[in-house]
Amino acid sequence: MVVRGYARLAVDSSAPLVAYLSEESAASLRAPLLRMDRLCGLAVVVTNRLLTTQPELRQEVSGDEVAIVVGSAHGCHKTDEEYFRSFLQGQPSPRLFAYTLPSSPGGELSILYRLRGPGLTVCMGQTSGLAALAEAELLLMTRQAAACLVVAVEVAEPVLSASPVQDAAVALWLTREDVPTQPGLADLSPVAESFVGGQGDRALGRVLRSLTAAEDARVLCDEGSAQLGALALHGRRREVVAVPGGAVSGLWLLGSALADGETPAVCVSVDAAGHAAAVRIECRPSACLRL
Amino acid sequence: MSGCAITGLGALCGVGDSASALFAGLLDGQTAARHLPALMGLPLDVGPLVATKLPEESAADGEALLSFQPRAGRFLQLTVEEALGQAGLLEEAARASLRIGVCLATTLGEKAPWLGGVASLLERPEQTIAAPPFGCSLLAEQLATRFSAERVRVVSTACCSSNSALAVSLHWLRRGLCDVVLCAGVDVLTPFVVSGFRSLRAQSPDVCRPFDRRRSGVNLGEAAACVVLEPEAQARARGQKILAKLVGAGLSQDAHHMTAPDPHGRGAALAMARALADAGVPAHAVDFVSSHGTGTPFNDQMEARALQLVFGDLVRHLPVNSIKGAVGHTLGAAGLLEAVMAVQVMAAQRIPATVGLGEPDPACALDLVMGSPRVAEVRCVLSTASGFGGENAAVVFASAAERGELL
Repeated sequence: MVVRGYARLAVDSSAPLVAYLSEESAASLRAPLLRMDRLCGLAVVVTNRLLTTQPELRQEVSGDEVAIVVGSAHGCHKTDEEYFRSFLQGQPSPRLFAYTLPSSPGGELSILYRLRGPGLTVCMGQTSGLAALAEAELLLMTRQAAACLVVAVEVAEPVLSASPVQDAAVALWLTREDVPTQPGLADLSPVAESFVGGQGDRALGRVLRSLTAAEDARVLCDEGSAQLGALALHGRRREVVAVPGGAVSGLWLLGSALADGETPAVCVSVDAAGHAAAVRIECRPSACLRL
Repeated sequence: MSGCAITGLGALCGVGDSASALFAGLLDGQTAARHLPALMGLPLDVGPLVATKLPEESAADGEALLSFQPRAGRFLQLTVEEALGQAGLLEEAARASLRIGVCLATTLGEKAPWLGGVASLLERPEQTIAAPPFGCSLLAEQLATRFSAERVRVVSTACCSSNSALAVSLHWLRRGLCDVVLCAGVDVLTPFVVSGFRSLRAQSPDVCRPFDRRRSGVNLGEAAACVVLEPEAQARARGQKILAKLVGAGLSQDAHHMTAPDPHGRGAALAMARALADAGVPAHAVDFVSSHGTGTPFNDQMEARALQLVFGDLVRHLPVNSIKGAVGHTLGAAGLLEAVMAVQVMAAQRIPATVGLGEPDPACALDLVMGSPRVAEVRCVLSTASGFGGENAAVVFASAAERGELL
């Protein structure tokens, strides 16, 4: 699986999303962003960033052959709360209710970019981003799609203050190796995943054992994963990276590897529920990503 | 592409508390929809709903819904145990050497406790909500822990979550990532979703009438359903009866509108065509279509057009039904309930009638099964689903006989 394009952003939760767009993009997206909720807005803004810096990606394949896979740990909970408050106050909002599904970002992206390939949304806690990557790989390898837009997205909210989550999103454009397109940025291994109820450390041990050609690779992880997976990571060369949290974390780490180019590297996510996932990334020689 | 064996079924819904009771109820042809006075203590006059009675609950009249108690996990537990029992995998020893996967379809997860927290915030804004805002992962983790699953996924693609989860499960088995997949779906009634459908004017004030010219929307329902999937060779080696096979899946997006389907049915037709291609099954080999058939004016007409696009003239003699007039629209569980029905249709060679359908809409020119069950030779079933955001998912089931016989 080849990474053809990558974009990420973390934003101030009180800032309007249009502030994160170029003037030209803002002109075309201002009205759609006003219509949609912040979860969808973040997904759209990061995808816009990806496709305006690399417009050839969208032109290389038919929209019917592009899948969208979204990963989110907390999904649309902020919109859910706003909608339910509107109901309790006697004025349920149909506009808000239309966005009370974690799959809403996939729908908005499909509409804006005319993508009619397979659509999937997965919600798996901290590992949701890497889980989305795993499903994208299956769609590509089973030839259900020629390219795949993978988006991990989270919206912060006071109810989640105990979790280190902030408004953030990552977008990747993936293809199979045999799709003739522009040179890619990096090659990804299949995502290794495991679950051991309440024992993320044991799950991570399984995951790391199942990854091939990754024994000596640098491990990139967030602070929480480093703590939860300490035993499994013992003796490994590891680097803790500051990430926005939630589903975004695993795919954020890929960006860090792409930016510094020190690969192969293994990007790891572990959560307290017992999920663990990892993927090996190897940058292509000519690849250069400026974040 | 290879398929996989279905070796266990489980279901719990307003029509029945087991897979066989569901099918018997569907053949009986009665709706389980009724007017409920309130949900979770909140007045809500929204037309008929299909509530489901848990064994420990006294009645399915809404009483059980008058609190913010979690129920979705219990729905799942009962259906997964039923399916695993039929598959001969309920005992831990039987699963010991198998890599188990859990693939859960849901739109809401275990949302009731969180909704209670939000409600109490209105009176005491200084407090915090203890329950997780999105209890989907929790439900899957509970199942995975109980059954020692190594691979877990929650798929939430609106009302086609079930068919999407079946597609994911099929890919897992084809790639050898698991030996057995418990593919389950669940959604329960809450004022959150009922009021939302009402606000969109999608909840019917009357009984649900799929494909009927008088149709006016859905009757929301609650349910859980589960199928046990595994490689055919493994099922045979275990000496397990193969009930049917899941042989193909296809997904698509409309790229049209967030809440309205593409009126031309192009997105849904893409998913159906992809599912048939994935299964290697020609259109003429399909004997029956289990439609999404929600009873909304837009969905049913869109779906009829999609079927016409995929099947052409064949559609005039292709039996189509919808079970939503009987069981309600059960959102994330809908496709798996229909899978449980489809497997039993192939075993019984009887197709349940479309409850609520009395006057077919000429704009939905299909061979609709209505009035009473139809006796038919059914060896291959296409099941379709569509949801908000323009998501579409279709799956293909074949009888336990070799798939080559279909071609």
